[in-house]
Amino acid sequence: MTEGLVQILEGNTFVVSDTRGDIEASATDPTGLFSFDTRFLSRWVLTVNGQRLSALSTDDLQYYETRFFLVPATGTVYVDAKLSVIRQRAVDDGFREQITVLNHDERPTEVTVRIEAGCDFADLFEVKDALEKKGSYTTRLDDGHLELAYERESFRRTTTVSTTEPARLDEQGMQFTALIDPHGSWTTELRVVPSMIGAGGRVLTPRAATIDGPRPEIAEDLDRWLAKAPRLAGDQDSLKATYHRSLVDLAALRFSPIIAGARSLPAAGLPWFMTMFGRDSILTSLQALPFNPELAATTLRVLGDWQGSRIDDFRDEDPGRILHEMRYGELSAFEERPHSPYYGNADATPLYVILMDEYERWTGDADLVRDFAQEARAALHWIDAYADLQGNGYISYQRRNEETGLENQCWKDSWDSISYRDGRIPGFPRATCELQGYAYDAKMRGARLAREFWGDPAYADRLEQEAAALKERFNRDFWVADGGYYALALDADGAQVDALSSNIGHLLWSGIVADDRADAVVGHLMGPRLYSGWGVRTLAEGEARYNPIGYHVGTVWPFDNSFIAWGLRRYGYKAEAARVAAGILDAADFFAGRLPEAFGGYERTQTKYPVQYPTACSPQAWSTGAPLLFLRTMLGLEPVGEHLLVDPALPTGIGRIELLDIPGRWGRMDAFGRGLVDVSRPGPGSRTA
Amino acid sequence: MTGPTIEFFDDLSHREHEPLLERITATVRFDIADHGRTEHRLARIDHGDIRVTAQDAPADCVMGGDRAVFDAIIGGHLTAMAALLRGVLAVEGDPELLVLTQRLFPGTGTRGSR
Repeated sequence: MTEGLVQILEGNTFVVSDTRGDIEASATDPTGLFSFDTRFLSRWVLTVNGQRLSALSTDDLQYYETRFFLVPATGTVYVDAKLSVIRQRAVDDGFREQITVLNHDERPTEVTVRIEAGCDFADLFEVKDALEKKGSYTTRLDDGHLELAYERESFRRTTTVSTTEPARLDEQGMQFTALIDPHGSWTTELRVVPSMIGAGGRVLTPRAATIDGPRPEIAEDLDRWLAKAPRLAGDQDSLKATYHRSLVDLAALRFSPIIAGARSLPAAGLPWFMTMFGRDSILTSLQALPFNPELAATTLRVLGDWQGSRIDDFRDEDPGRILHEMRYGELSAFEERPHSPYYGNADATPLYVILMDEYERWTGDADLVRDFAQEARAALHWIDAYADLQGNGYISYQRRNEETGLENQCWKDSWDSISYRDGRIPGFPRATCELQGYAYDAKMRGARLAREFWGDPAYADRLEQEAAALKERFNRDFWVADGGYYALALDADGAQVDALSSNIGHLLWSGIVADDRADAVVGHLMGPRLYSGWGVRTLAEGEARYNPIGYHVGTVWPFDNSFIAWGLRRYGYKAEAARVAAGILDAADFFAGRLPEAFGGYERTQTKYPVQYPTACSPQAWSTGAPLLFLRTMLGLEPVGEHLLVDPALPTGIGRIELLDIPGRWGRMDAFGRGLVDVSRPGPGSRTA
Repeated sequence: MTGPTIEFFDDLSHREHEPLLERITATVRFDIADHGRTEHRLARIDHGDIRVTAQDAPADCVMGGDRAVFDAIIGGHLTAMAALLRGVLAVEGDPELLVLTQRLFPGTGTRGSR
């Protein structure tokens, strides 16, 4: 996010303001009060006696609450110390803001306090792309409330502002006049409520906010959330701080989509992705499984409900496909964007089956696996029936919505992320390698589910045969013999897109790597072209498109590295997994425990600190989940039957750690470990069974 | 009342079993408005077995809107979510059923009218 902005959030609602607490949004500026992909306040400016205020300090009290200490701006370096203002703002379904004016004089004083309120009701897509509005605006002054409204046909959105103290209302805001005693104070509480109004005047949001309604118990909810998670104890304070930050941010990023009732699943991240994403929700739920399995349960249920059931080119929907993204703004409502929901991704569908299997292995929740058997089978069917666009036995992608669909339907979704060594960009369809790994893993795990829960051993056998054939085919077609690694993708002609990339790490996680090739793959992952000292780069140094601050062509992504480390563990490379974990966790210390989406791929010895990618989302769900997955990986936590296996391989710097009360089918269990792995330099082949 | 929506429910009452709704046991009512008149279709779903009547009885989920809106949703030209956000479809009760009943609708095979 941009420097000098203050953001607080709760689920799907967030407020971004300047350090004074004011909002003065332009058409393309991401400040304001946002809820369900719509801006509900674009102007919110406080003046006292006609003067703007300046900030003395800004305290982030909680992720949902901030306090601003302000004084009237004099235009000079001198501060008029006779008056100061405290603004305390908390997000709930909208926000509440307490404004307190303090008189520091020994005489009484009369003050005029004014808050200006205005709204453009922009769709987040419009803020991104600076589009024109098609509806009309009205402002209503009503019984002490100020109501800002936007209407387009039957689409109606409103923002209501109310106050606890009497005010004079006008179309641009509200004004208070108060006489304050010597050394006295005056306070009012303002309440801002956004509403999505549906047919018949019904409010659409799950927890409809009202002007007079009680404050949602966010603080109590956060305490419950933290109390349910395992407790981390140990020698290293920074690791404990990162762990706590991750749990709190994950709580902040939970949100209840309109159809999930009170259940919540992880949203993707601020500022653009505060919505339901197939890929992000699944990967974050996987990372968080040992710490909070409920996220996975909700993700499986909600994404299962929304699974595609027909062919729709506008939404890139197929039967069995798991959604990519759901949006709730005006452009989705009028189908000027396909996000109601949009299905254009090639990985969430196999990942859905992987999450279901992993969820059952941890929790023993066989009911969910039986209830959603149809969905899991439809997802497995999608892999062969709809995703094999080239008829060569591989998942590939090419959008059918040429206008507003997504070109790149894998996690590296920027235009230049998939390239040959020489920098050329392949045409479509594209079959990226990690998709084949996910397909393999989905079939293997689907086979276990079919055998143990669906009573269909014949289907299980078939899936295992298909998986074995896929693995053999993949190892023949994707292996770049002169490089000793797997190609990033196959192009439309079935030829190798031969750049060296972090995607090969996901292949380890999936188990599709032939055993005798694992050493070579790990050698590349930990070698100087991919490993920066902080983590594994998205694209290897030396490739034509390599750029240490290119979004998917050289930066280091914490989430990517967390799955790579899991893959290293899967193939027995415990020390390498510890090394990758240690690098990213070291980087987390530079961001106060909150890992950004991505940081620069510069050599660690060159920069000494990790350089944050300029417009990276933060907090972002799968970066928030990365430290959790690293903890699982380093402790070697693995459900085996009804038991939890613990097999730690921790970097020396971590010292002793204890993860207590890990939830699962065993009830609660503790894991202990001590840092014994020297990660200061790459060791020779340290593979252990 | 005639048209695609009414025809769809006539067909549905003969379909009897829908495998995609096997985990569902619930009632869903559709209130279809046309020129000041409202017709009702009540679908009782029992583990995927479906019975449709014209009863106006309480249901776990009730969807209401103009016939043209239902025609568009059932024909695959409009998703229920977009209709809900646009304010042309009213939903009361369990919103999960709104999503799941969409599996009953045939769709168009290509992109809808936009």
